[in-house]
Amino acid sequence: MSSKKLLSEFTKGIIKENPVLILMVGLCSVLAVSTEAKNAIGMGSAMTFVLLGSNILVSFLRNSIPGKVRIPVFLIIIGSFTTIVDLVMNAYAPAVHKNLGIFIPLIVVNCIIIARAEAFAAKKPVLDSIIDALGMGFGYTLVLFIIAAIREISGNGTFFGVKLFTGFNPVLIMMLPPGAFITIGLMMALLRKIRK
Amino acid sequence: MRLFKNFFLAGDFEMVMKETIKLGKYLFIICAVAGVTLAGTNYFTTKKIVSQKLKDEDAALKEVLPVAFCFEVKNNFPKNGFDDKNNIVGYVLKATAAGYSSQIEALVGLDRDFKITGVKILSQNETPGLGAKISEKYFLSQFIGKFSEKILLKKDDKAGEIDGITSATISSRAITDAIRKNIDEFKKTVK
Repeated sequence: MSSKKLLSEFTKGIIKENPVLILMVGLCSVLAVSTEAKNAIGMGSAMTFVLLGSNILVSFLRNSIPGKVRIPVFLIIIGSFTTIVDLVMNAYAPAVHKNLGIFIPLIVVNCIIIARAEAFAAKKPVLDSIIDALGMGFGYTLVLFIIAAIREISGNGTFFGVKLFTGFNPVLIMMLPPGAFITIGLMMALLRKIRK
Repeated sequence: MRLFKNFFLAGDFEMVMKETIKLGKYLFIICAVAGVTLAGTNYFTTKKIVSQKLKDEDAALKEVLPVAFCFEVKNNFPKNGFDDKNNIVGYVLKATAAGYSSQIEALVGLDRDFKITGVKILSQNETPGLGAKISEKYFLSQFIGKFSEKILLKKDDKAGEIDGITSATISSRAITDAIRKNIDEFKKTVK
């Protein structure tokens, strides 16, 4: 496997096959946690970590998993991995866990992970799957961060919890669910326009 | 689907059974491995997690009643706070309120005259950016040093001294009322 191919395996997750804006998987978590830039980074990194672990395991076991029961097997792998991350983080990094704690159970239902297991890791060697997980994780985190930044700045007048303006009347709707849909829709439209 | 078709059309019971058993075996092994791994992780982390939780709880108690040296050891509230000579210096209550979109839980620290020494929100799931602001300092610090008669929203009652959060009246009112009612009820049990 040439390094050029590996690099394209990584960069495809950022624009060409961006999980959120192009593949449109994992939208639920994007809409829910994009209220603060800090949360976006937390959710993004926790998701990337679990995706990495599940991609490695699925790719490693890909030749022994019977096709008929592959989905339950993926689910068991993802569920166990998420629980282990949750428990270990809770015990050894309580400060981080306090900030991310609520997002970790959400990762289990994040369809990016099962989508990558099914579409990529189950067919490709381990190294490719690692690169794929990193690229997808990065693409997800990037989009999540941009949406969160837009929503936090316009809806609350802050960025990473720091007040940016004085005498600014925040656009409250941006903090509420409609704000998430509006932002994500505009970003999708923008990306389509650019790619054409 | 194909499993059932095979079963009904060809009637090849043995073949279907064989495959089912094979798949079942595989799933069983995967589940067993996952189960053992999870049990192991749980075993090694439980102790740490529990002690961490106790430490957090103690820190929360200290935060709402800073004068206390230690606290009554029991599972329910209210808890008495003691100084280093084992005299009661205050109490910590737990107030729960039905907010706009969630159950709000808060710790309230009181000194012996039932004046509030601190409020801390333990858990809430109110609207981010609106109701969720009840856990911010600028809102909670209004409660400190007040008696329960003044714990009312200014817009609800003339005697009130608490400023609600803009466009989050329901959350602010819920927590304010819950704190006042809890203190009033607690007073009755002590006097």
